[in-house]
Amino acid sequence: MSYNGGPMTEAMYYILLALLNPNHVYQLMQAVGEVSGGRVKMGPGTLYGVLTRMQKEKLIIILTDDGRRKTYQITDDGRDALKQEYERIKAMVSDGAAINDID
Amino acid sequence: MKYALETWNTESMERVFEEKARQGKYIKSSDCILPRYKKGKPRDLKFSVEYSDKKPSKDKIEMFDQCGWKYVTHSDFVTVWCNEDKNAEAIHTDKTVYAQLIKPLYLKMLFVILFYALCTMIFSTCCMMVGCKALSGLFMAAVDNILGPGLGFSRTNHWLISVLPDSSYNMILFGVLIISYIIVFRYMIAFIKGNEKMRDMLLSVSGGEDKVGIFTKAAMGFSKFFAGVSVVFYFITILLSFHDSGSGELFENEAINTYLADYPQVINADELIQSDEKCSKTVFYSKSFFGEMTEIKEIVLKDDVLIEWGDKRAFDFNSEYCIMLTEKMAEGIVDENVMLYKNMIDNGTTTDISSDYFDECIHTVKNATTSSYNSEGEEIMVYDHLLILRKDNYTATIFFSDTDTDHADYVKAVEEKWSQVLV
Repeated sequence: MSYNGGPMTEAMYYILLALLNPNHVYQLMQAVGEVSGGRVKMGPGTLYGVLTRMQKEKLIIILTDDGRRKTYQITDDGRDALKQEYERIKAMVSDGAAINDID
Repeated sequence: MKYALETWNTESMERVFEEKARQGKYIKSSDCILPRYKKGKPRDLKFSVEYSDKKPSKDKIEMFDQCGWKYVTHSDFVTVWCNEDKNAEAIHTDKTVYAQLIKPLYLKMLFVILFYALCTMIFSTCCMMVGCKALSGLFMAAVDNILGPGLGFSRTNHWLISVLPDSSYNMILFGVLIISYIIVFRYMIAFIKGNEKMRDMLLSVSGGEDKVGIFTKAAMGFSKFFAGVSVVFYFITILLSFHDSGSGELFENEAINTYLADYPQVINADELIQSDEKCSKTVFYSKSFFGEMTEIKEIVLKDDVLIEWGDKRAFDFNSEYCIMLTEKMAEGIVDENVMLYKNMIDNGTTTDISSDYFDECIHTVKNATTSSYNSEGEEIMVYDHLLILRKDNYTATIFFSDTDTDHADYVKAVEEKWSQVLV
């Protein structure tokens, strides 16, 4: 199953972003907090759900698995999807710039 | 019901588990009917209950463990997690992701609800249609035994045979029936409420747009309908059990023979029935496999004289019981104005229309003279669906109803035979 485009959930976006550097789960939760400036908190249920889904969509892969800890890494498809989402959000922000002129 | 588990209410379950943990009781099984706890030292822990249709995988348990969440138990459609850190991050921090995860579960739960609803309905229908008689006996025999014969239904002044051993057994069986019904019903309600909560969650994520489809709406509607019907059916069963109640002697040929032997004088009851004079009745019961008592005969006494006995139930005219009755008539024990009903259609009991007795009746009618008396001196009366043969000491009636659609084929067959007679 591959990613079919479309808007990502916030959780998915930040996990992909955090996985630009390979991370294991606990680090990943911290990394999401860091890249979002502490705005996004990630619970293990959300993390597990998103990681499982992204693995199926081949956006991420397991880099290492020592039996207890898995390290995840973003794939090329994942990078493309992230880039695509970034462009979409950027366009949205750009389109919404007119809101500053209202006042 | 401070600690009752509401499977559909995850927040409520979390609060209960946390409160219990503070008392030193740790949830072991979160079954919504019988949650089990194990004892330990009181601790202040944080619990999280998530909707999930499967036991978590090893991967998931390890991942949660790395985040401080320990796996506790999984039952029905929920998984319970526990964290020593009271300020730990919630398990699900993204509502949209959670909604995506529970959507397949929502549909799966829908089928479970339908299954339970159907089970409940079938169970209550069985109770009503098949087990009604048994239930009535189970219930009333038990009540009679505990509180005395004829409780609230006093129509008897004799209590010949004790039913103690049966009623004790019956009480247990009746209790088991009620408990099993409550369990099934409670599961169903829990699942319906859980499903509704999931639906609310899905709708809130989709901005109120119903993406779960009209099918799920219809299925939920059906489930609630089934649930409602099953409750109505079940209570009808209980009410019917009262309706069919009564008390009196258990029926045994010997018991009736002995009883009747004390009252050789039989007088005409017709006038007395119309009068205000007080009569007492003794009801005889047959006892079935389940131990329930079914009323079969009613005997009316006035001043210790048998004035009437009537059959309350259908019976096969060729049965041992009927033969016994005929013998008693022949012996003259019951020899005056005793109405002898041959009710061919009652609760599915019918007499074979090809039987010798029926042919004999047909033959009698065929040979009847215009004076409505046959050569045996029997007066013959024929109404729409009634054949009456009457002589000095007895009246035999064959009755069949054309309104009983359950026996339409039977009635048709009788009518065909009847028409041959009347030609």
